[in-house]
Amino acid sequence: MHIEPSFRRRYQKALADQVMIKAVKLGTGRLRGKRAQAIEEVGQERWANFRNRAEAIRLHVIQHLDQYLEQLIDNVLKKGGHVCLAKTGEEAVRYIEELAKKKNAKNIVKSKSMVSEEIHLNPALEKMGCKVIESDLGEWIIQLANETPSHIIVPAMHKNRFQVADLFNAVNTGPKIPAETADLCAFARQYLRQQFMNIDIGITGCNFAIADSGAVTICTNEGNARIVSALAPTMVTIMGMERILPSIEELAVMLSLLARSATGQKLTVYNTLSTGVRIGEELDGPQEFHLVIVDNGRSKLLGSKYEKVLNCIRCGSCLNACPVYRNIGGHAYGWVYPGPIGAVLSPLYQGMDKYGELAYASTLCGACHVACPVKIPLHDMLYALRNDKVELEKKGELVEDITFKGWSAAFATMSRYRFSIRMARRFQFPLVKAGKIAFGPPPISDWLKYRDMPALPDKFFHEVWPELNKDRKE
Amino acid sequence: MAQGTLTGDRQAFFSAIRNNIKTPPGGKAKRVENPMEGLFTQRETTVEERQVLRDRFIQEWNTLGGQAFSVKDRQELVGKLGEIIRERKIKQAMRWDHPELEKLQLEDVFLQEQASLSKWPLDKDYQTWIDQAEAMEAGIIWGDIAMAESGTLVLPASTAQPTTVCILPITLIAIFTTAQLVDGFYSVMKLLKKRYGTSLPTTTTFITGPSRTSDIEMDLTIGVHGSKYVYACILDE
Ligand code: SF4
Repeated sequence: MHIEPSFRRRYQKALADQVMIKAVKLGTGRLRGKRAQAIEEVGQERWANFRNRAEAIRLHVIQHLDQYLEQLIDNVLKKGGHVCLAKTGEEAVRYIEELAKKKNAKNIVKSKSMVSEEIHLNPALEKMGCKVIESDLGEWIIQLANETPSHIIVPAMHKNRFQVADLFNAVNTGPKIPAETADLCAFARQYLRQQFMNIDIGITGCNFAIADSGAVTICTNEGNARIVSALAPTMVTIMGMERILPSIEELAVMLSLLARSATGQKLTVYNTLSTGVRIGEELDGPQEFHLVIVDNGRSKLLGSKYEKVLNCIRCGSCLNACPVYRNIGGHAYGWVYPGPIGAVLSPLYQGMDKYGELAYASTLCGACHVACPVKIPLHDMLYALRNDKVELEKKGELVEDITFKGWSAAFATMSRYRFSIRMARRFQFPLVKAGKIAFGPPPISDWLKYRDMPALPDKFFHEVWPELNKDRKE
Repeated sequence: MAQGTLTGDRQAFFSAIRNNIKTPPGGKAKRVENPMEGLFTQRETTVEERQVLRDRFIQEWNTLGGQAFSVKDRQELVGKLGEIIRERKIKQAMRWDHPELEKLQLEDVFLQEQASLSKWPLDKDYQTWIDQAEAMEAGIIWGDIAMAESGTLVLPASTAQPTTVCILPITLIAIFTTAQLVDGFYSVMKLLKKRYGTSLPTTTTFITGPSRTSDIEMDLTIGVHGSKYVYACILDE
């Protein structure tokens, strides 16, 4: 899939795609409603306690990350699992490529892993001649469409069932599948089951690793990860190095928050806690287990003003809450992680030069912070990223620069302020219609394309105040 | 068991972490003691209270799209199982090798319905059992721990009780008594800790209803990968 380098072009393309916008609005609306209902059931006070507890757990873990990772690694090794410490995405990919070569793997079945998208694993394995199949329904849809996920939880949110039917019919050798959800899911079950039965290597993501028991937790509603981890003779779990918890007690808190924040469920249907390699006489579960722990830019966030972003549990709730995401969908963000979390992560992981503009993909309304189960101050981080961007470039855009300098000069004294208000009132006159400004010259024309601006009133508060104050005194 | 191997430069990996972690002015955040405290119901239940939990589990499981019911004794259970076998037109099923299931002599029920019930392990050869397991129309398991508040089965796996039985067949039938019921996560995690410490079983699966997806137009569809029909038969203590 070709990804347009400019954010402006990407969101313009998104705004023109009415099918996508409609689907995203419907999807995010439903998820928001379900989450709200789940919180209502829990009770606002208890929910607040859950969030505070989760924030405290994550804060502690991130500040002691070295300690917990050491413990996890030792426990996985003790249980016969193999561990790869990948400083970069390339190192992780190389390790898995070599493993696939060693196992002479033909069929690789994956359950959802955002980190694998981050490190571009699929194209690398396909280049080696492996058949790589995504088994999460949404991921499989976008794999067939050669697209990237547009939502963390519902990767194919932007597609409607007719588009899905076309994609499925392209790989279907039987009678045409109607564009009905039940038929499409039935086809996916049957097609993907065949892939599971021929699995050489299974690759999964990791929701939470448990340090004291050397286990990984994988959550899916469909059960695909459960099948992968039961049937794959060799299982690879890829985890971002921050996705770790001290013990299963903390896991209970996180699983309860994750499901409710993501989809409004009390719990995800299948939560699998796996220690990897089968033991004794066991017949299912992997014979070989590989845990790939990926840094890929995470360690540089530790101790920085962005450290708290490592608390993220990838629930997708901030996406559903964000007025910008709801209007442009996920692809406009350009990289793997969309929405407010993506707008923070992309510039931090991929560089300001490439993704710095995403800091402006926000109204700074703070809805993402309110929605976040681990209380990440995403809006503050977006604001900080804007500052960093300006600092980095040492200049804003020329027009912006002039505007703000003018603004600053005008607001410096009362007389200049009054004068500029009088001037603005005079010059706005040709643009005002029914108390609003709906069009104007560049650069505000772009802004006015999507919203109206109220015209300056005949009198400002400071102008009516002497009058009001006089009445009050009397 | 042979120790696994480590790939990558452990020292370099950790020095990048240690060099960056900072201690904030007030000191590093302390580990939360008793992280579940106050968030979940926590109590030892009596037989009577477990009947309330049973009703809660049934309500949750049914809301999720499964079918749960309570049965007084084996005879009633046999009747219900017969109904399920007929309703789902089950011809072959597999079950865990579990002493409680053994006691219930479920093979007789299947015979009566002209169906077969095989006990795990089906075969010692990987490819043979995997193919046989895939052909099964139902899996029967013993619900080791059941969480009433969310309608969740907690299934620690072992050689005789593998997860394949509860994930591959389209129909899952879980049988357990009210003695297996607990309120929620607090009791479950404490129980697992007491039983296993930090040496957890190879897999512990938490199943909360049938396999589901809303990946197409947010339209909820049941049974995309795992079990589509999930039954919970709860025997009174
Ligand atoms: S930032 Fe918060 S709300 Fe957004 S995905 Fe991460 S945990 Fe969820």
